[in-house]
Amino acid sequence: MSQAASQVASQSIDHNPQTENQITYEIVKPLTLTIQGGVNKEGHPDSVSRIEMARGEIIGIVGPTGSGKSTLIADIEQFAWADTPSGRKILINGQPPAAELRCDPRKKLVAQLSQNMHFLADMSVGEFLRMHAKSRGKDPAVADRVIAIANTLTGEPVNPAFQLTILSGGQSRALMVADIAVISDSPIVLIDEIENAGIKKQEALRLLSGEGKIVVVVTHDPMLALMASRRIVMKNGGITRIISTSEDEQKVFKDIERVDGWLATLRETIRQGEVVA
Amino acid sequence: MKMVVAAGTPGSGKTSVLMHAIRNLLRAGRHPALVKIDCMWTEDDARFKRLDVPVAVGLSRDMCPDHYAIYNFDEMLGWAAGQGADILINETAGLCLRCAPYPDKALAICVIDVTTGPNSPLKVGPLLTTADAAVMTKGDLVSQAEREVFRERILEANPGCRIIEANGLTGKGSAELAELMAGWPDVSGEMVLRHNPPLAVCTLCTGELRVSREHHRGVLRHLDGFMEYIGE
Repeated sequence: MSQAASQVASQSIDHNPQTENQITYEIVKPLTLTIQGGVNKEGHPDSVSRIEMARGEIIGIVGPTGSGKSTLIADIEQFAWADTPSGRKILINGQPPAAELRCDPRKKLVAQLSQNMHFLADMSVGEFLRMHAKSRGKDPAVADRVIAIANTLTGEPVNPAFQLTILSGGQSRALMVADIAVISDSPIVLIDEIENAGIKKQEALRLLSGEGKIVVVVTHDPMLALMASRRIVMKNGGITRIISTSEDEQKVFKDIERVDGWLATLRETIRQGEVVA
Repeated sequence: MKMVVAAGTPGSGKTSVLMHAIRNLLRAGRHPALVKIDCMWTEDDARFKRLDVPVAVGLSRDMCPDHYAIYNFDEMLGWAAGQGADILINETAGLCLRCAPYPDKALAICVIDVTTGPNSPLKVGPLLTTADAAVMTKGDLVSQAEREVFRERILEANPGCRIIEANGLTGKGSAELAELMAGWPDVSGEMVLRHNPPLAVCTLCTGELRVSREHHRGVLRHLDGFMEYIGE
């Protein structure tokens, strides 16, 4: 959190100076995201009426299945303005976001990695990425970088000539993560249940959380939840409380990280057809 | 009286999106009335009636549903006025992609399903290319990257159109759509279509059932693109 202010100042605005893309970053340099509470599934108000997030922060969203985690993510993604079932409002820098920030991908502040594990578009990987780059006002040549990064996250390499629809769940997810890191490149990143993805999850989160982004991650995974500085607790469609990750929890995180590293080594040994020593 | 014509392929979510928009219009103190055009059968009117707004159904039967709608616009407007409405919403049947039943002064909305893939905006034709607004539905079923590529494809087909990302289940986008409807100018005087309907009558239109070429007359087009008039 304390780093947020300095990261704001150093946020680069010249990813691709020949496009109008830089406008996005000029509008939003110091960025806060505010959730104004709405109601749960029964119409009772959220217990927390206002949550503010600043650049550089990772925020978790936790709660049982059906508790409204994905709904909260969707509220943020579409900059809800009391026009979704939750009645929540999303503010940017304390203000209602302009319509063009909601709609125009070139000005879009939010990149989202949803639970969708597959692409439906009947196009090749390369063609799709070039077209996505174009829609975001970027140089289509970044497609190669997206594929290179995706291939660091997944065991089975993706080739630009592959049709999107034949990719495995892990390949699709890796490609979506890399796409968000390179092409979408928005200051707010929403991640829905990355643990189910069949990819290297911490590396993916580290890549996405990049410098000075606000990262909101829905998760059941103790390691990812404790990587967050705070976590929002959901129940029955409503926000019930916010937990700040304590020092004790951070110690637990170190333990989990060690165990996770060990498990990853075992998994790789088994995948390679070797015997676990 | 304002007029909205909502078109889009079957199953794209026209009815669901319009129901949410109507709820928003009602909350804003507007008086929408709805005419659903279909071919043989519909139950959409029962869904709209739950909103407690005036609803009428037109079944085109043996006539092309788009031609039928165009032919009956005056009657629809008269009916809506009689119901005390200030916005007439016409939901089309949404079948053939050759027509676009959009009068110039109405708000023309094309509802388009994102899961049909990024080539579909190029296939939809005048339904999309002459619309004022494209409403993208089912975006929750694909990744954000795919939604954005789809959006780019819509803009390739219709560079000037307003794009609204909507969700027929949650009502996302309906506030924006309702605002667009409520702010549209009133219709008045003579209206003309934005796009010409397909070329006129052939023998199939008058009930010929036999398939072979020798039985047909009219303005006809061969597979290779050659067009000719056969007849008297």
